[in-house]
Amino acid sequence: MLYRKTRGFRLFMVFNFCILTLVMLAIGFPFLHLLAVSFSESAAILGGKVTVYPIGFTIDAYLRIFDHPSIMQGFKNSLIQTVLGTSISLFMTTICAYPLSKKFLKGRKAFILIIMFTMFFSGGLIPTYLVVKSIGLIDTIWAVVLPFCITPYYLLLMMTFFQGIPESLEEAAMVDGLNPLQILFKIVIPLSKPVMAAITMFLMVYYWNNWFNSMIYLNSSKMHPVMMIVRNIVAGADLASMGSGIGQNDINTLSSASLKSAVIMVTMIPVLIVFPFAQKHFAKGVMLGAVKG
Amino acid sequence: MNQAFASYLKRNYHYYLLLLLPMLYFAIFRYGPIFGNMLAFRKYVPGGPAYGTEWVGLRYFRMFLEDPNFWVAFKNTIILSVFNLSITFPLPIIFALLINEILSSRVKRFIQIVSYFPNFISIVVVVGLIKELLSPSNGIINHLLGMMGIDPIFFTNQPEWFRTIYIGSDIWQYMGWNAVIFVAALASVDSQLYEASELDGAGRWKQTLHVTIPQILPTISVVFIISLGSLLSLGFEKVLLLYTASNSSTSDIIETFVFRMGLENNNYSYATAAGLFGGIIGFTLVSVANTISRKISGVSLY
Repeated sequence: MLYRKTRGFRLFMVFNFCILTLVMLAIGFPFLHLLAVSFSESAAILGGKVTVYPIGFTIDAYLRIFDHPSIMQGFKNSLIQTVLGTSISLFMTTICAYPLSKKFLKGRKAFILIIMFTMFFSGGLIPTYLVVKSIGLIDTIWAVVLPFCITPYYLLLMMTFFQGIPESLEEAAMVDGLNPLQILFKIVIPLSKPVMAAITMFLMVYYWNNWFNSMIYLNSSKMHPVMMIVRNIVAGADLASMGSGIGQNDINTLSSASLKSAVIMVTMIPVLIVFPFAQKHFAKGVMLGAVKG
Repeated sequence: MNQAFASYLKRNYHYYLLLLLPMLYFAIFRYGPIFGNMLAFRKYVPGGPAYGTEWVGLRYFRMFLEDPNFWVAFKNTIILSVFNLSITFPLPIIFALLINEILSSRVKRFIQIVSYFPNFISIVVVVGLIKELLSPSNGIINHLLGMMGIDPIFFTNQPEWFRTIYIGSDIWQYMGWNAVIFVAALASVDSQLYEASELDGAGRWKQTLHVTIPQILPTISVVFIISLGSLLSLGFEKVLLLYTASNSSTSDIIETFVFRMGLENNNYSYATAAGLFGGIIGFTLVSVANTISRKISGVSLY
C-alpha cells in the first residue's frame, strides 16, 4: 500500500506508538505500584521511594494476611458465594433461555416482554431490599445469590446461541424418543460450551467482585466475603480493629499501606488466574451480543 | 380447536415446566420490587408489611421535592452523567481507531488484553487503588507534587476533585472493554473499500474519514443509544465508595441519596419515592432515545 511510504504516515505511526505506550503504562501503573508497595518496607513507602519495584523487599504483609483469621474466612465466604451464585445463575439462565429459544412456543413473546421490561425498569434499591427482607432471606447466603440470579442480558445471549443450533439435531433426537428436557441436557448444553463458558466467566467475576449485596443483606461479619473486607479497608476502618491478627507492634513494623496493598493484590489473584483462559470467551460474549444488537 | 391445544400441550409441556422456576424468580425478585414501589405512596411502619400500611398520596414526593439536599443530588447526577458520557463515549472509538492502525496482530491483541483487564476488577479494588495512589500521606501522586513543591492535596476528600476522579477512573477501567466492539467493527470493514479508495488517491487520513468512520457509524449509533438510555445509571457503587461527608456537595447523587435515606436512616417510603422519581426519569430517557433513533436511523433497541 502506497500511503505507508509517505512521511506523514510514518510520523503518525510514531505518534500512535507513543500514545498507545502511554495508555498501556497508565493502565498498568496502578497495579505495578501497588504490587511494589505490598512488598516494600514501611520506611520506604512513607518516604515515597516506592514506584514500580519494591524497596526493602519483604513478604511480611502477605504473611500477615495468611495469619489473619477474618481475611481467610472472607476468602472462604467469597469462594462459597461465587460457586453457589454461579451455579444457580447458570442453571436458571439455561432453563429459561431454552424454552424461549423455541419460536413455535405459544406465549413466547409475552414471556420475553415480561423479561425485557425488567432490563429498562428495575424495582429500585429500597423495594428490592424490602422484598428480600420480607421473605426472610436477610443474613442468609440466599440474599446474595438469589435476587440477581437471572440477568436478562445473559439470557438473551444464551437464547441467541440456542437458536443457532441446527434444528435437525434436535428433531433427530425427538424421533429417537427423547423429550425436550433430555434434549436440553444431553444435546443442547454439550453443544453450547462456548456460550456457557463465556457466561460462567462473567458470572464468576460478578460474584467474586460483589460486595454491595453482602453489605446490605448480611449483618454478620462472619459471613462477609473478602471484598467486604477490602471495602472496610477502603472506607478507612482502621486495620487494628479488623481482628486480633494485628497488634500495636505490627503497626509499628508494618506500614498499613503495604498490608492494604497486599490484601488488594491477593483478591485479584483469582481474576488473574481465570483471565488468560477466559479472555477469548469474554470477547466472544460481547460479539455474540453485538450480533443481536 | 381444544383438542389441537391439548395435543400441543402434551407435546410441549416440558418447555413450560422449565419456565416455571425462572418465571417465579421474575415474579418475586423483579416484579415484587416493581410493585413494591407503591410504598412511595404509602406509609411504612417498622416491622409492618413491606407494602406499607396506609395510602398517603404524594406526601413523600412533596417531602423530597422540598428537600434542598435532594436537588443537590439531582443536579450532581445530571452534571456527572453528562460529563461522563461526553468524555467516556468518544474515547473508546478513538482508542479502537488507533489500535486498528497497528500492523502486527500480536501487538494488537496484547494491547487489547491489557486494556480490558481493569474491566474485571472489583469496584472496591478500583477505589482502593485510587485512594492509595491519591493518599495525602503516602500516595505517589502527592509525593510527585511534593517534589515540585506543591503541598499535598487530599484529592478524595475535596468536592472539586470528585468528578475528575470518577470520570478518570471510569476511563481507566472501561475504555479498553468498550473499545472491543469497535475494534471488531473495524476488523469487519471490507478491505476492497480501502483498495478502491487508494486507487482514487486517498491517503490514510482520508480513508479514515471517508471509509472507516462511515463503515462503523451504525455500530457507533447503536452504542450511543444504549449509553444515552443508561445515561443516569452512574456507577452507584463507585460513587458510594468515593462519597465522604466533605465531598458530598458534588458526590451525592440520587442513588446515594436514596441509599442514605433508606438503608441508613430507615425512611423507606421517602427513599422509595426519591428512587422511583429517578427510575422514571431514566426510563423516559431510554424511551425517548429509542424513539428518536428509530425515527432518524431505523435502529432501535426494542
